[in-house]
This record gives sequence, C-alpha cells and structure tokens, in this order.
Amino acid sequence: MVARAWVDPEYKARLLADGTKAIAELGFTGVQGEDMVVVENTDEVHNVVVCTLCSCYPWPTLGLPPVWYKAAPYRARVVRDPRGVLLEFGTRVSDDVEVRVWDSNAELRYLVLPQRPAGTDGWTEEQLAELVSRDAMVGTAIVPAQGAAS
Amino acid sequence: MAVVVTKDFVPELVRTGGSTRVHKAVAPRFRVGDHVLVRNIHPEHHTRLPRYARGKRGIVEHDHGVFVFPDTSAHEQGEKPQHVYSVRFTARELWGSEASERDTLRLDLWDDYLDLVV
Amino acid sequence: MNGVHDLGGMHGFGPVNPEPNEPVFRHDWERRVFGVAIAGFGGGHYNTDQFRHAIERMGAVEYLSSSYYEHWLSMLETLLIERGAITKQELDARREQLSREAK
Repeated sequence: MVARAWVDPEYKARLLADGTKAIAELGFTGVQGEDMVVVENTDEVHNVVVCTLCSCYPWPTLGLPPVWYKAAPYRARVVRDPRGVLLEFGTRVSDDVEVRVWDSNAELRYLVLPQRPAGTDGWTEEQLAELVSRDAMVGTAIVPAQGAAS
Repeated sequence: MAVVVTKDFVPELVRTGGSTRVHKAVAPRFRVGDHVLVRNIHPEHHTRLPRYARGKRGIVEHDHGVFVFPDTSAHEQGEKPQHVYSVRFTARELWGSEASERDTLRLDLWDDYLDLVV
Repeated sequence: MNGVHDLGGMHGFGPVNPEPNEPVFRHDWERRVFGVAIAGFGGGHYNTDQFRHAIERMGAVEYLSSSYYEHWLSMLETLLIERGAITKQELDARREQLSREAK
C-alpha cells in the first residue's frame, strides 16, 4: 500500500481521500478495518497512532497489534509525550516538525503513510515495499534513507 | 439472537467485518471549522470520551459521517446514530503551558460529546 | 466509565520497551481465546461496545496486573454468563475439574 502510494500519485490521492476504498483495491478489508483513514507524513507533520482506551488497530493491513501498542506505557505516554516515546523507538522528530497524535477512540482506524526515503530514485514498487516496516505505518518509526549504491 | 459460528462462516466474517457506520441521514450538529468544547461528563456507563479531553477546546477538522453511539450501544439502549468528527487539540490545551507549542492531537468525537463555542 | 483503562496522560508506567519480532500469540491459549472471542462477536453474543465495557468492568487492580488476552478471557467469562450462553455453575465446575486433572 505504502510502496504503491510512493510510485503512483493517483493511488496516493485516492488513498488519502478514501482510505477504506483504496486499501480495498489491494484486497485488505474486514474486521477492524471497515473504516480506514490514511494520514500522510510530510516535511511539516509526523503522525503517530494510538488507542489510549484499549487497543484499536487496523487488523486487515497490519495484522494483530504488538504487545507494546496494547500495554499501559505506550497508551498512557504517547498522547502526552509523543517525542519521548518516539525516541525509545530510535525516532527523533525535529522541533520544526509538528507531531500529530491520532487517538483511535472511535471506529475509524488509522494508518500512517511514511515519507518515501531519500536514495530510492528509480526503485520498483517491490523494492520499495521491502523497506516499509509496521512501525513506520503506526508512526513510531520512519523509513530510513538508503545509502548510495556501492 | 446468537447463532452458532461454524468454520465456513469465518472467512466471510473476517473479510466483511462489522462496521458501525450507519447509513441514515442524520443532521450533524457541527461543521468543519467549528470551535467546540468537550463536555465535562463522567458517566459510569461505557463511553469513548477519554478523561484527558473533557472540558478541553478543539476545532472540528473533519466529519467522518454517522456511526452507532457506543454509550448507548453498550447498554442495550439502541444505536442512537450520530456524527463523529475528527477534532484537533493543541498539546498545550491538553497538557498545559509546558507542552510543545507545535504538537497536536486528534480525537474522534460523537455529537453527544461536544458543545459549540460561540 | 472513569476506569483505569482510560490511560491517556497517566504517569508512572515506565518505558514502552518495544520488543522486536514478537510472536502474534505467546501461548496457545491466547490463540484459542482470540478465536472464541471473534466467534462470539460473529455469532451475535455481544457487540464491540459490550466487549470493551466488560473489560473496563474488570476492576483496576485486576486490569493492570493481568495480560492482554487475560482481559479477553475475563470478557468472555463475564459476557457469556451475563448473556446466558453458559452458567456460572458450569464455568466453576469445569474450572474445578481442570484443576483436579492438572494435579
């Protein structure tokens, strides 16, 4: 989904306009993914998703959530100190970027569209997909820049 | 009425899920751009309104449409379908003047959780 | 309800400590609880809101000192009894039987 959005601007536009429909194009539908919203990381905004009240998570696209997502430390702290939590994941967000936390307290399920990393010009969708991690789609990680080919 | 779930039932169940979106024309109480005040309610029943947002001011960013209302649905009191909005709060509004002046948070809030700030 | 599950903003829980590559289910019983819980939902025994509220009613100490799928198990015990799918006597009897067999 992420790689498709990176290589196909029209798919990306559909994804951001109607997440449920665009994600369904790739075959991901169903339980805990019935109403999807995709939020885009940019140079100005870094998004991160949580469910403070329980463990709501987009199952059809990401599978079942990891223990850390469902446990008290993340749920308690990421809404109040997202930058501190992101540092635990090795992710540092610059002060001039807005961190935007999404608390999935209703039935909308959120996915982060991470930024396409530098050093991937000309890569195929398959190659790009290998770079994308689950954590980058929750917002606790970014997809790191790729070094120059040796 | 509960039914027995057999193996063949499962793939279709998982594939279609159980959206709580309600396809009924219900008038929204708010519009995008409205300034809202989250109600300071403390129900003993089920609610999806976290304590950290109660009494806080935010801005309606998006109308997600009409959904079942969990506060009644959890207690056999009907669906009471109403609009759910993505509401933006600044970190400082939620956590005080020591919080980041740039960061924000979004919560999805039902009509019944909000009042308009005029 | 103002339960301890409403964790947003609370202090004192320590570091997140994300574990890389954890298994989806740490124990087989978790996989079974997951399956039974989804089947219960699919079969109309409860809706998602009732599911969540049953967990919220666990009580603060119980909630914080048990694991995620223990929350789901507690939900099943609560809702299946409340909604008449099983009786408390049946549950207690089976629990006693299993604990005798385990000795």
